[in-house]
Order: sequence, then structure tokens, then C-alpha cells
Amino acid sequence: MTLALPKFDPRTKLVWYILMIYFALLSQTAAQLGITLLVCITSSLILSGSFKHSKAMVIILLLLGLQILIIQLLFCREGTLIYQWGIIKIYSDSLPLAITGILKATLIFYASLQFFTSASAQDFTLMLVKFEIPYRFAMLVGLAVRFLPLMKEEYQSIIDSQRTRGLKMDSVWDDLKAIIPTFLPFLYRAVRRSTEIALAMELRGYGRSKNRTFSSDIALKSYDVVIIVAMFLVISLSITTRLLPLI
Amino acid sequence: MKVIAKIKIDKLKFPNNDKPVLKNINLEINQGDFIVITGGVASGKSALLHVITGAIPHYHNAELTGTVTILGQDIKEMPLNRMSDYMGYMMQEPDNQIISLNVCENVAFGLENQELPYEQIDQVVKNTLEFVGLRGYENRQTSSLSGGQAQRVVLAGVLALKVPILILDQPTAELDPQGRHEIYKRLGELNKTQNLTIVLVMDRIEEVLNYANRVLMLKGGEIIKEYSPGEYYQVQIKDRKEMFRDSMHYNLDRKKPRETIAKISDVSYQYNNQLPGCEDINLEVYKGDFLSVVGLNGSGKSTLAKLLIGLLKPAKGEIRLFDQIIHKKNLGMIRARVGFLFQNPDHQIFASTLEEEVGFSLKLRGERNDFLNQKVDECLQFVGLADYKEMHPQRLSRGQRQLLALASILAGDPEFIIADEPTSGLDENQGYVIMEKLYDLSNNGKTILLITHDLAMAKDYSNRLVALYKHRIRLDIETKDIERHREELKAIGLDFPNTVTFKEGYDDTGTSEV
Amino acid sequence: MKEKLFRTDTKALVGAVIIGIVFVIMEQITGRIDGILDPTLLLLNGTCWAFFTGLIVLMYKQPAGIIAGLVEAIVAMATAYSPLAFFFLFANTIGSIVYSLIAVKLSMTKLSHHLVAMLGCNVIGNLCVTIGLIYVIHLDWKIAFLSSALTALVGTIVAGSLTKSVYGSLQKSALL
Repeated sequence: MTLALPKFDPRTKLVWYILMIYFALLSQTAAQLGITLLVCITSSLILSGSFKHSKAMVIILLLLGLQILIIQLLFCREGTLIYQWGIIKIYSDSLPLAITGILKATLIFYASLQFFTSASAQDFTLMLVKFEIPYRFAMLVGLAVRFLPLMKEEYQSIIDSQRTRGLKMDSVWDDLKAIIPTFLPFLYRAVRRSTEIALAMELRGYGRSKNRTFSSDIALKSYDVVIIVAMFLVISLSITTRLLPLI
Repeated sequence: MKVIAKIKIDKLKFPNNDKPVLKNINLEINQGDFIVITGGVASGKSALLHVITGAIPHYHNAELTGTVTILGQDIKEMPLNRMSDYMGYMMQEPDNQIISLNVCENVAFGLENQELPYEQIDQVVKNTLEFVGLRGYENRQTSSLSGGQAQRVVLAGVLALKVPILILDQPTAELDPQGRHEIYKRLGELNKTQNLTIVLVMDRIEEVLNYANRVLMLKGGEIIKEYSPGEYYQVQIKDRKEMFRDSMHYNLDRKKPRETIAKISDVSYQYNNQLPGCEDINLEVYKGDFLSVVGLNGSGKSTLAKLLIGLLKPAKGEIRLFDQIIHKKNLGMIRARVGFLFQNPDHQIFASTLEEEVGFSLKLRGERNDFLNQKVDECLQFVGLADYKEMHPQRLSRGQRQLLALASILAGDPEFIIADEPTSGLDENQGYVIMEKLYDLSNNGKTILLITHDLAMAKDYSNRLVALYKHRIRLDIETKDIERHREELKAIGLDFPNTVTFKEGYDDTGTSEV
Repeated sequence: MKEKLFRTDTKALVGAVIIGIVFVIMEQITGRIDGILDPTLLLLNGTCWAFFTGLIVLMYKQPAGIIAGLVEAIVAMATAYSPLAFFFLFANTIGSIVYSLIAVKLSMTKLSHHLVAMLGCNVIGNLCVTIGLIYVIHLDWKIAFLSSALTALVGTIVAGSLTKSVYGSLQKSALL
């Protein structure tokens, strides 16, 4: 999609994320949750132009949903009894509870996914630096993104290596027994690796002074400021309306 | 000549170890020196480098008596992250020295830490990348680089700091001949044109000697001799000739009727990401063969090895081992008869003693304890690690860990041994130790399939050579006929030095051109 | 006290990230096995969580423990690995802090020390997840507590003895 959409500052995205989580935790009805979720998904669709996040999570959520549903059906004791078979009792509130539960979990899950995949590692680093976090800590974001795929590959090589030595990995039980002989080489390798990386970084001056240059910068544009202020207004309004009746 | 660094070490000891790692070192490094450090297993080469870089005592815990000064500065007084004003350090594995996601960021890393303004950094990055031959690579993702390119990016990151001294620990040990050539060429140029001082722990004897001016030999933590590169080369060649004299390895007489151990017919394999692995492979391995499969990185050698042991399933064609087609049911049985030595021993070592490590596969098979112990002793004896039986494997050197991996494979008494780049990451001496062990095994009737990019090694040890190029078999010859096929091998980026005299071997033929 | 609790050298920071990645990958592996063996209890996953939370603190102290925990939780969220990942943010950080605070008071040479530290870390960590389960997924609190208690118990015993032996092995390896 080549629409000229504004590129939001990661801080704007963070406030959006906080807003979504806030709604997820405080909304009580399925309708409220449903609308928020819809807004969240739409925002994703407008900004990225695809449903790529949604696809990845559908299966996981279906499984989770099924689990929540079964558990609620089996254990919920609220509302009126509508069905009984032996010790299994199903109460009337179980379904609505299951639905709001699933919606809440989905909203939190989706908002997190949206936020953490919304910007590059460098942008997150810069955001942390703006929050006055020393760069020695902030830059670890990039390090994690760089080494995760490498180490996944390495773990596969380790599994291959042990399989040729006769380690079976044909069933779940085999997999369970294979954890230790595959995990330990992985751990030793990781420690060796991190020692080398840290040495290479130090010898190139990592942490020699308080600040460092970054190749790019992030800055709040006027529309970022407007949106952030608006979102904070929404949150404070909602908090006030909740607190007012209590006073 | 100006002395740029003075290293005076009485003693260097690691905790919990009485024997000093380094002793009586008195070394002066002049500006413009290109020093090559060599020595056997546990000779203290890496420790010496770590002392010069300041990693000892600042980073690794060790007890150092002596002084190391670089440009008049005592490095004991200097924090490690200030050392980048004095020297740059490059290690073996490029992967662990590339910290950022794109090339530009990575080259700029050190400069950014020095708080240089970005316009200036940009220019330096451009120039440095151009110098290492990676012009236009600024925005490439670091994960898409080949080993040789990655190591050059690391080199660029170090050079960008404009350091007076460059310290390198086996910088090309994990690269193929092409990648190695690229690195050494740049180093030679830097030394000559910019008078950059270089101290390097050697991985391969061949090329680097053409650029060096001093060779230091370490043994037991002491510098026992200093050679000129020419002298050192002569000594090496003499040693090597002696090593091969009695056997002329590749003339192994194997005229007995040839029993087939493995047969690959019309096999192709494609990776999930559409990258080809192997195409139309036809290959027969005979009992008693010492077969080398050679080719540059990415030519499909490792894929072939993985197909052979059933780690990958061919998309097309058929693979027979011991006259059986590999399938899920007989895989366990077949694997019990095959030993697979991987490139990186650290991918399999998990136990807390050597004994336990070697006994692992026997334990999996449910062997009896007395048999297991006897076998473990035998195998450790064979690789020369019997003295360290109770030691933690991670305390061994890289070369020793590779030997340990070999021992744990031998414990299973395999008839057929597949070794995938077993000397990668090792220096030349350690590499030869591994190769000699494989050779002994071959003499004892084991069938060996060696995967390597090192044609010189393949030539010295094997009786048969198969060359892969772009995922296909290009050549399948007897090693004794190698001279006749030299041009063909060169055409696919493989060459071996003439072991005649220093310089001649290179100047006449050149190495594989990039 | 301060030195026993904190370490902010580059080795510890990088170690936190790299071991954090190992943490992520092992959680995925154990999660897959749990998915087949005990999809609702997630005993293996819980044990694996406790093991790493303890091990990283022993290896690199704080803030490494928190950093590794964040790496795990955030990767879990960004890769759509678990819908409960959001709660890991709290479980991981608070669990790690609790482990640190207990470990700093003990010599950590005896198995009992490891078990005590693990107990604290497991109870607090599982409590975070339980609150999430009750409040967000509206699980019945008795069920939520029961399953968490079981996970915490298994986690304490298995992960406690595992951290002791693996950390001991790491010390012997001289890699740290």
C-alpha cells in the first residue's frame, strides 16, 4: 500500500497501546470490548494495509477460546443451572463470561502484537533513549532482534547434531527426554557467544561516554502531539467518570 | 623504527590453575610490523592477544605480573572501552562481532560510541566499506552476508576507528579459500600502504606469510623462537613432507573388490525458502574410501552430508546406505553404523565430564557399564585426551573439543564416518591433528567421507575427490590425478598451493581469484 | 549487598539478552510439548520459566534478570506465541526481583537455598499469571489458584534442583 500515511512516533504508538490495554482491563461488557477490538484491528489495517497480524493469531486464539469456553462451561457456578449431567453442571452465566474473557484476552493480545511489531528495533531504542534510559541498556533491543534468528538456527543444528549421535526425537516423550542434551550445548554456546559479543562491543568503545551518536532520530510531530493529548484526555475523562460517583 | 608496543610479562595465571598460561614474554612491536603468532595446542597464543587488547586483566579474570604499554600507555590503567583509541580487535566468528542489523550501522558502531557527528561518520563508513571491497553495501542486512563478506564488514568496523594497531585472532578460520583470500589481501594492503601494525594469530600458514615480516613461535606460554616468514615456511614444509613421507597418503592401495557403502542416485533437494540444496547428485561411496567432497561455501556440500544421514529427506531420487533405503524405521539402525562429525563440536558437547560425553551414545543404546567404560577409555586414548577424563569439556581448547567430538563418535564404533568441515575454526596445527586421526581411522578400515573447502587438505589425505559447484557434482576423480584437473578446479574457485617453495607457490599460480 | 544484587557491565547486559533468547526458544520448545501432554496446566513451561528466571539471576544478577524476562515476554508477544504473554511481563520482572532478593540473603551453595529462592519466585510469578487468569479470562478463582499452586510446586522442586546443577556445571566450565 502506498498511501501517504503519517509515520507515527513510537511514543504515540506506546500511548495508543496503553489506551488499548486500559480499555481491555476496564471494559465490562462484550459490546465495549468488541468495539475496542474492532477499532484496534481497523487501526492496524489502515496503518499497515494488511491483516498479517490477524492471520497469525487466529489459530492461537481459537485454541485459547475453546479452552476458556470449556473451562467456563465446566466450572462456572454463577447464574441459574441450565443443564446437569452427573456431576457436570452448566450455569447460565458461563457463556457470557467466556465471551468477555475471550474478547479481553484477544484485545490485549492483539494490541501487544500491534505495538511490538509496529516499529523497527532502532526506533524502539531511540524511544527508550528519549525516556532517559542509558543507551547501554536501550541498544539491547537491536541485539535481541539480531541474534534471535541466528540462535534459532543454531538450536536446530544442535538438535541435528545430537540426532546423529542416536538421540531419538520421534515422539513427545522422546522430545521431553531430548531437552537436556540439546539445551545444555545451547546454553554453553550462548555463554561463549555473549562473552565474545560483549568483548567485541567494549573494544569498540561501548559505554565509553554517557551519550552516543545515532544514525537516525525520532521526533514528535504536531499530529503526534495532538493524538497523544487526545488519548490522554480520553483516559482521564474515563477515570474521572469512574471516580466521580465514588466521591 | 618506532616501537609502538612493549609487552613484558613475567607470569600470567588463570584462577584455579597453577600452571602459568604465559611466562617470560618480552616483546617489542614496531610500527608497521606484520607479526604472525603461531604455536601448538595450549601454547598461549590467544592469551597473548588478550593481554595486548587489555581483555586480560580487564575482562577475563586472571592474575598478570608484568606491564603492557601501547604508545606509552600502560593498559592496566585504561578501561577496556577506551582501548579503541589504541587498537582494534577482530576475532574468529564474524557472527559474534556483528552487532547491528544493517551493514552501515555496524561499521559506524565504534564511531557512534565516540560521539562523532553523523555527517562525518557517514563519510568514514563509505570510505571504509569501499576499502574492504563492499561499496554499496551500506543498507544491506547483515544477516544476508556470506562468511567472507561478514568478516570484511567486521574488519571495516575496526578500521573505521583509525587505530594504529590491529589485532586479529584467527580471522579466517571459518572462511573458505575465497573469503580468506579477500581478507588477507586487504590486510597486506593496509600494512603496506598505511603502515598499519598488525598482530595476528595464524590460522592457515599459506597466504598470510606473503605479507608478514615476523613470525613468533609460542610453546608452553613462552616465545621460543622468532623466524622470518621465509624461514618459517621452509621449516613447515620440511615438517609436512616428513609427515607425508612414509605414506604419500593418497596412494593408498585399494584394489580389493569394492563394496558399496552408500549410493546416491539422482538426488535433488530444495530448502523451504526455495534455495536449492543439491541437484541431480549421483555418487557411490565404497568401503575403505577416504573420499573428500570439496567446494566453496554454499555449493551444497553440507546438504549432501545431511541427506546421507537422513537429516534431510531428498525431494527426488534415492539414497541407500549399507544397501538399505533410508526411511524412518531403519534410521536408528543406520545411524548406529555411521558417525557424523560436525563442524562445530560445541553443538553436541553437553556433559560435565569428558567421560560422560563420550559414553553418551553408548548409554542411549543401553550398553553395559563395563563395556561402556572400556570403550570410553579406548576412544579418549585414541584422540589423546585420556588424561583429562574427569575434566569439564568446556575447559578444553577448541581443537581439543573437536577431538572430543570425534572420540564420542568413535565410541559407537561406526563403519562409516562423515566429517563436515571438521577443521573449520581450528588453526593449521590443530587441523592436522584431526586429519591425522581421520587418516588413522581410514587405515583401520573405516570409510571416511570428508566435507571440506580446503583442497590442500583433501589432496593430502584422501584417495578420491568429488567437487561440487552450484549444487551439482562437477568432478569425481582419483586424488592422484588431481594435477590433470587443476584448471577445472580453479574454475570453480578451488586451488591448492604448490608445496615447492615459499612465494613461488603463490606468485606463479596465484590463489583462487575472486 | 549492592555488589551481590547488581551488575551492569557489558558482559552481564549482553549475557542477559543472549540467555534471554535461549529462554525464549526453550519456552517455545517446552510449550509445544506441554501442548500435547498437559495443555491446561503447562507444568513444563512453568518449570522452564522458573529455571531460567533463577539461572539468569545467578549468572548475571540484576538488571540482567529483568532484561532477560522482558526479552522473553516481548518476543512472546511480538511473535504471537502465547495469548497470555502480556502477563509474563509482570510475572517475569517481579519473579526475577523476588528471586534476587532471596538469593542475595543466602549463600546458594545448598539445595535448600535454591529451593527457598525458587519457592518465592514461583509463588509470586504464578500469582501474577493467576490474577490475569481471574481478572481477564474470568476463570473461577479456585480453579486458577489450584492450577497455579500445582505449577508453582512442580516448578519449585524441579527448577530448584535444575538451577543448582546447571549453575554448578557452568561454574565448573569456567565460561562465566
